[in-house]
Amino acid sequence: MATYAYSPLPANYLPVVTGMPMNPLASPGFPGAQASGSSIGQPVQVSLTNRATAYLQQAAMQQQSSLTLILPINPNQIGPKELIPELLLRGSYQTKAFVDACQARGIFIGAGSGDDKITLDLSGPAGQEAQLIQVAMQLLTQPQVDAPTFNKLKQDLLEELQKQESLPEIPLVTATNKAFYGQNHPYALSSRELMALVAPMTPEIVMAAYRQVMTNPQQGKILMVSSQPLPVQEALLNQGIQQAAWYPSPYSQNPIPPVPPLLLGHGATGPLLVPNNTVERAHLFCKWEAPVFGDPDYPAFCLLKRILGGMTTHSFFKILRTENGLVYSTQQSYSSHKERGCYQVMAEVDFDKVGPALQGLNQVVQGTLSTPLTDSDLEMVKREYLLSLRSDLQDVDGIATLSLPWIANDLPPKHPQELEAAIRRVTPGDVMRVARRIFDPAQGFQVTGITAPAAVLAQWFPQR
Amino acid sequence: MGTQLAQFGPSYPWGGYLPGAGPGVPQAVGAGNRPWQATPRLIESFTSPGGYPVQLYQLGNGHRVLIEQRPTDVISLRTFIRAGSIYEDPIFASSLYGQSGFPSGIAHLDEHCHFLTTQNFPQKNSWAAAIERLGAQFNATTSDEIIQHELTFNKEDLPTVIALHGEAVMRPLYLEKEISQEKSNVINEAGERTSSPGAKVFNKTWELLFERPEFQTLGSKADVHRTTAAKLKQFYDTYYRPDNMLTVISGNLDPRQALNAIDREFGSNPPRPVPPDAVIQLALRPNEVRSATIADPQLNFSMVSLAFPGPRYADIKERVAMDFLMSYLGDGSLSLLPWNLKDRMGLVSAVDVDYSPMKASGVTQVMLHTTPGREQQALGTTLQLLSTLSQQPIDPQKLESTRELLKHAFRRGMNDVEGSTYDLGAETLTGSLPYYLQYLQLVNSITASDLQQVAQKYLNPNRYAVVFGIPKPETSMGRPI
Repeated sequence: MATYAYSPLPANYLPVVTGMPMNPLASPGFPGAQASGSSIGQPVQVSLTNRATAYLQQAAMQQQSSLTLILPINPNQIGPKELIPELLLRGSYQTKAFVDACQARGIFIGAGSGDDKITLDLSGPAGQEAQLIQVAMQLLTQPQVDAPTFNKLKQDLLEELQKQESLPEIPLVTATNKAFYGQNHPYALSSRELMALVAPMTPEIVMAAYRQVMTNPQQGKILMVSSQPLPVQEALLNQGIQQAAWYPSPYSQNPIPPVPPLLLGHGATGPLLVPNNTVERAHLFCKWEAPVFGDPDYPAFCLLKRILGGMTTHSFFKILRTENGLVYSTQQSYSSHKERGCYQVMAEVDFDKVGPALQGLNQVVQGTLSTPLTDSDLEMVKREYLLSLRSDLQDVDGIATLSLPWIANDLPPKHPQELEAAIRRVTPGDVMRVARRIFDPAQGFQVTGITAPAAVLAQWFPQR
Repeated sequence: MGTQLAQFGPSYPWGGYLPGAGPGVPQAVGAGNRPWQATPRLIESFTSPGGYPVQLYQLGNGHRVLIEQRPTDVISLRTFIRAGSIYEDPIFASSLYGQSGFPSGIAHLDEHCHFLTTQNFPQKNSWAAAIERLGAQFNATTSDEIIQHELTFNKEDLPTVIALHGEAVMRPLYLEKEISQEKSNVINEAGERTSSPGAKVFNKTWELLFERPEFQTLGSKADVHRTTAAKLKQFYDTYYRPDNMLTVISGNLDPRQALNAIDREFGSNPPRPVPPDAVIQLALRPNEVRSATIADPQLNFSMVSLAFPGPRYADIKERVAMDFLMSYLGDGSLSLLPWNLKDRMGLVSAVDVDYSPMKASGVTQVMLHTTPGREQQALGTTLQLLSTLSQQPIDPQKLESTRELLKHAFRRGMNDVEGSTYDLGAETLTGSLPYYLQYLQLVNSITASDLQQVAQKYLNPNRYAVVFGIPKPETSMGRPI
């Protein structure tokens, strides 16, 4: 069999762009503005004139600039949380025309919501940062919502939630979420439950919730990535705030309540059986509690994820496809709420392969726990990870994507070289410890679910 | 710096091995032993739309190479082959397509085999392990008319990755035992890709338009099972010929080093006549409408899949005009179809437009989601709206804003090295590189009259295919009625 050798990763594996001159600018007010040997600057935290926290990052010679605003919202206000992003971009004919006109100018805008956040993200041509900020401020501080459009948007959202019910994996995802987070927890709402919360919404209710968000800019966070020097970025943001008069309300505001407590999870639950007589293949879903974003074990977990999936030599692909021909692919994902991280794997199999597929998943887990990780295998995974990190840093959107999870989790963002260093420091022992933390039933928390026709489930689980 | 290209095994010579010699009997064909011209020839130098220098070479055997230098340390490498499922026996008989002797699904199965076992990596998946050990990512795609193999990797690993790429593309090893298991994977893939209602609707739309299913590329289960190693090798020998192939590479690289490495891997493939071309044929006659209905128990809403002909690869200006029309029809909340069908009339909950060119015909599609019972109304209203594009020029202000939007979107795409290598390669392979190189100039040149003409030619309300996907109630026993 052929063999070959490869050299260890060189030092300073990043920066992303070689041959680019280091930007020598580093204003005295911004210590550490430039990490050495990098054309991407260190993210720097500043406090804006409305007391919002901004993280500014300079990336040399970029064609685009990126701006993201993260505003906290009461996590229990599910209806407003679902509708506010739609209203920001489509709340009236005038708003839609404005957003479309921005797109024609090369400014692309998106809005979304998280557990306890509303986000607005924009990107546009470099050199037009002032316009980018102005667009953001206009959308945020002058939302235009009319009742007929609101009702239409609400109807659209309800229809989308209704359509989701027809996707075979949705009831399965809901069932496993409820077992993982708690039956009535906001993180585990079914499409129907969401519909029930959205249906009674009125423009008045939603805009009242939105006003609460906007009158507390001191709780908001902004991330800007641009080729502009940091003092320029800060000045432009403050100028935009001033023009929009976006300042904290003089009246005292209620603090944002926390998310309800999660279900205390331990051991393994399932498999939960979700009958669906319309599906043509069985869907399997496994969730494990994983380190949250920012946990000291998070870098080791990133590498463990790579070991398990993503490449053909990795565990799930190898066991389920290569060795046993059970699946074409598996899908893995990671989500991190502040209180609990979740690593999940999904696979589709023919009805006659449900049992072997479950055994295969279990085989992967047991193998991960019992087979020591070698230095060379860990080195390989580190190379893969750093390649993908390098890919992400090709443009401002990728650079911003690296920083955003930190900011959204109330953590200071890291420079890519800090991320690289953290990855390099991980040892095989670290990865094995994280594997035990996740997969050992004595330490971890796992939920498994399967959807298939009732007759198929009865065949594989006759006792249930 | 960079990886050491250590021993690949006794059959890895500098020049590669001669295809057709059969597994286990590799022959080294070094550079000095090529009976054809040995050195690559520079055909053309130009600048890519991103402003980066590009050189087009032709290897001594006819294989073309495009090299783009851009300042990214992540390198994208692709090899395109003018082959695909159009070169297979059609899954069901049609007067439009002849028999080729290659069973359906063979192009796709062959694509899988290139990563399975090779001359110098005869153990299953050992080639994949070698690539992934470098932190590189690989993939391949097979469509009706194009096969492409792709890699993304670190610039430091350029010589090794090109060697491994050449290994996979040029030295596959067809072993019955390994192929037999890979067939299960291919059939699993087909299961995953074909089980959703949307996939079935799309497949049927293709069937109506072209008298061949979109699932042709996946192959029928029976055909996949009966395909032998010998037949796969025959397919490979027929289509992996130098004049039928093109390699594209882009990134922070030394072009001479890249060219030499690519020549080592691909330059020893003996030149042979290019196999006869085959194309997807539009089956719709002038002023013909074809329709079908699929009832699916997974659906709780209705789909309307409406398809028209579209510009071919070679119809460069028409393609740009169609880009305008697609944006005008579906980009943004106030674009023609979402604004009217969704916002004003509440007739649909989602609308999506797209077009894709092929060699002999393109396809333009509109997909609607609507409430059961309103399918015909959604179709009729959509056709009325589309006909306005033929009847009157679009508003000048809207024309200009669409123009700017397209230019901005194109410039944003320049950042993506993988997207750029795909565009460079696909357009060169199909002889339509000016579409990509001159895109911004072409966008600037489009007039309202151009759009009207393209709409009249392609978005003809009397010539289309439509498939309705509707909910199907299931019995209490779980079986469809």
